[in-house]
Amino acid sequence: MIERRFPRSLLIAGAVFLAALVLPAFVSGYGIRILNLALISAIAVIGLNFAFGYAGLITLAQAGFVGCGAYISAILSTSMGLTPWLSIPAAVVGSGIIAVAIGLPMLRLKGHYLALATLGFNVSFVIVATNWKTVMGGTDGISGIPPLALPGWPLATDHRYFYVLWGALAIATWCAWRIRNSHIGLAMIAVRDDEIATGAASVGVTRIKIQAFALSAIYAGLAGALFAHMTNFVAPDDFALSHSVIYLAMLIIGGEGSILGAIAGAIIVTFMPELMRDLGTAYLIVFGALMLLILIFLPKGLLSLVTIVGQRLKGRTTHAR
Amino acid sequence: MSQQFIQLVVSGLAVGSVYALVGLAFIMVNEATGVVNFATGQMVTIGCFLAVTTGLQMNLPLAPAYVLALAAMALFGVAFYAIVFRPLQDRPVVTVIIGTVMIGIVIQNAALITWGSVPFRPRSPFGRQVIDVFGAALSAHALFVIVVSFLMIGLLYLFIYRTAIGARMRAVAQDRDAARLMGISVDRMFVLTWIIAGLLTGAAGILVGPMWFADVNMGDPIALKAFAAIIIGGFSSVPGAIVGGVLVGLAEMLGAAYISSTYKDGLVFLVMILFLLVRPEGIFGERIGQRA
Amino acid sequence: MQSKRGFGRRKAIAGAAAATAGITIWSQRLSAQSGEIAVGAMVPVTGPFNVSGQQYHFSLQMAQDEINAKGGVAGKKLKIVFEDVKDSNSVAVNAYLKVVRDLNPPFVFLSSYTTQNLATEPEVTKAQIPCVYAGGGDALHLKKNPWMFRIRPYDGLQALALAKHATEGLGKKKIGIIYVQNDFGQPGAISADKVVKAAGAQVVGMEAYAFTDNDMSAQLQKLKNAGADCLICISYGKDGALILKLLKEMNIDIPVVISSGVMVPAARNLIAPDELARVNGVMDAYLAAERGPEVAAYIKTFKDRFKIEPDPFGSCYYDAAWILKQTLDKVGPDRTKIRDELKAVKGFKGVTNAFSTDADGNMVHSLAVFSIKPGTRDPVFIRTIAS
Repeated sequence: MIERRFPRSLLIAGAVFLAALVLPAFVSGYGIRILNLALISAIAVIGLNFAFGYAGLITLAQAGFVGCGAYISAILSTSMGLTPWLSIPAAVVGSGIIAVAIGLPMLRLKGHYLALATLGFNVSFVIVATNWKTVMGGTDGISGIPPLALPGWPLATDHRYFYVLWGALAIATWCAWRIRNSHIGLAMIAVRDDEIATGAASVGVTRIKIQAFALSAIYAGLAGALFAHMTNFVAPDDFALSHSVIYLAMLIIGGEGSILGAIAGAIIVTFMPELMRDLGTAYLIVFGALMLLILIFLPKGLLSLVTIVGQRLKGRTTHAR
Repeated sequence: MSQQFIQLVVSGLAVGSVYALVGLAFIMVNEATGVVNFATGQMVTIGCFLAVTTGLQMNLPLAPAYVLALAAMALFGVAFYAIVFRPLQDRPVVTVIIGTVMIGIVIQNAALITWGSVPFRPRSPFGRQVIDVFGAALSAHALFVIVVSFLMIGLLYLFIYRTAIGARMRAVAQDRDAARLMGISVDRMFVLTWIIAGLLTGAAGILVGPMWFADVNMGDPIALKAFAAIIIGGFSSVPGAIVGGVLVGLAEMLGAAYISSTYKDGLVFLVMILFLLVRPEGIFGERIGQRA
Repeated sequence: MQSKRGFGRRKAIAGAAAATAGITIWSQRLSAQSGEIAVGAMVPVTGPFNVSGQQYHFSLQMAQDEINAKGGVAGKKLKIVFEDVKDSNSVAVNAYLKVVRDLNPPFVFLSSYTTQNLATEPEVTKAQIPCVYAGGGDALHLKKNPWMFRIRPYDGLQALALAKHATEGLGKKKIGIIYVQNDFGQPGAISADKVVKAAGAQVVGMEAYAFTDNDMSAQLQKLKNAGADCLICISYGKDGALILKLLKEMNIDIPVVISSGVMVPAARNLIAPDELARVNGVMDAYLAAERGPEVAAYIKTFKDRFKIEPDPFGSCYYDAAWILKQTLDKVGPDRTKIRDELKAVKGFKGVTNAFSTDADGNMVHSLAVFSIKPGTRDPVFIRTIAS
């Protein structure tokens, strides 16, 4: 469930990342956009993995933090005229600060109380974004968000932006891996596994929870800012509560507590609607039912299927011997 | 001024009693089975549309139409128990949350395919009669909603606290394993809980139909307000659901009239978050199970 | 240890495999045959917007068949490729990119929802494909995107008509405004407020409600107590119907001038005739057989084929398809030339309206005001209000 230090699997993950470099050459113009959206979701879900997968905090606010990042970067780069290279880091820091501010009081709550409090945050975010027209644009949203650009080389096309996202995801994954194996990551897992045991120093527990929450918001903020500069438009719609549920579903379906699971879940769930386009109206019924089936029959996520199949295969070869 | 106040209070009570019914459906399920049911709003939708089918499309008289719809909702509760709750019952909270959200998506879209996205206007047993209360003109149906909601909540209260089955349900809510050792069929109590949830949401759906029209997207906004209501009132208490529901209903009406109609929803959620932070157990912070 | 190492690798491989499988499955899905000109249409076929989407879908299907029966476009068959935009911005953008990148069309019909179109607008600029859209939100034409043309009255015009009719038409002096709190209602209320004041009348109150609200009695009570002798109501269908129902229940007996969402048949059917007694409403167009044989024929064919009444929201796409035919016949499938032709449209007579393009890309500049025939739900044409 939780990755240990495996240099080799890291190596292979690295190889997959490298192999992904040539992916754009094989993907149609439309597919690359979906792929980009999947990479953005993956960053948000890796973040969610800190709060939920490691520290065990049930949060339904991830889309709200993605929204914070998207709006901060959008506002800074439009009305303030900041370059995206500065507005994106500002969005990342800003989302983290907001998370600490709301985490301080909220993280005293546990279980479904925390779920409801974070749900309340997400709902409130949408209400504020919808009504604070002068700054956040209301339902009209914010448009005219500039794309990222290198000097003389705009990154406006989806194919070029893929590499930006690919790089961001690689760095995000690497950082997540490092944090996971640092004392911070271990402390988070300790908090989840036995809150009472580590609770001896209860101040420490709250601090660790806030760290996990802030990390998840920082990743969300990065995802949101990258999203804003790809679509060049943000509106409250994209950060609604239902998206928070989807992020959680991505993590659970991929396999909670695992960075690769988070990435796989994000990719699979993003592509699912595309594979089921022909179902028309029935699509959401099938989608919901499929998710439910995965929850029931594969509680450790789709990646556990790979292990199960792997063990079966291994069992068979052993028998053959 | 006072006429306006009465008008607003009665409207607020009608809205609030619907939130109380739906909130109670949340509470019953959560107390007895430990599940936060995020598909509660969609169950309200189904209740409302079953009454559309029986009362409008089949054109039955309203009494049998309502009975049929409620019976179908009881069955729906059993189906929910069998398909969603049983397979997920021992899983972590978050798995169950996502599971109920997913089944909510399934229900909502099944409703969309079955009944279409054009809203219906179900008939009220009182037609469009309006009653004059101290100079305020109030629809008879709104008063009916208040009366029926409180009647149902009262009956449920009696059922839980004054009957043998109610005592068994409380025992299960308090300590599942101990109840099992005492020879109580825990599964049967779970089924009963889901039936009650079906009936409460069904009744809420039937009652709101003539007031707010039947629309397949009606569930989530109602459920969200009911959520706020039970957090304010107390996530585990019957009186809490009533007080919370009425408070939210009144806050919506009076807030829109005297503070700001733009930010009245934000106001409700702000109060909810304040409660979560300052007093997460709500106004009535007791557990049903502890009130034996 | 051995097995665990394998675990990491399989995870990674599985993820990559899933991704590539996903990518290859839908490539080459959309394609145009030779001998036809394929254009895209972004329609909410499923989801909560599908009622208006269905009208739009039907009217384009009908236009496509009629155009092809009359020899097609520029000597080729017209093929309209529909993509579902559901009720979400991101789905709308993805659908647009799918059509644009897989089909490479010379022209696209965009959605009838403003936020979806606002989200799609940056991609339209990148793709440089001319398109028409029906969302009314003023935020869109204020962008002055040279590739985008609106085929129904913009919201500002609707607000103007509501305010003009309440003041000049009905002669009311104390106006209350109730509006839905979003990109449609809020700017509408602000411009209606200006027009009312400019006409020398007074705005006694402006009240908002949320799109998902079911009870607006507090807002209505406030407007009544403020002494309103007429209400301007900027709403969609269901919420507008709820407001009219509440006004009757609360015994607030003043005339209501209401926006077009309530005037479509699906919404009018929610309202009892006596609740409609004092209602005047605007509609995008006066779509009735009395307007002439072409309109009569359109309504009849539509009803015969789809078994429902056509409404003006969807029918403007029918007109747009014929404008497209005229344009393609003249300049062929060249994007820039199509855009320039669309910019120059002047006095095109469609079943809904007359179309003339202005500097902002708005093609329609008037709408119709109706009252309701007593005891029924049937609209009676009063007059046209132009910008």
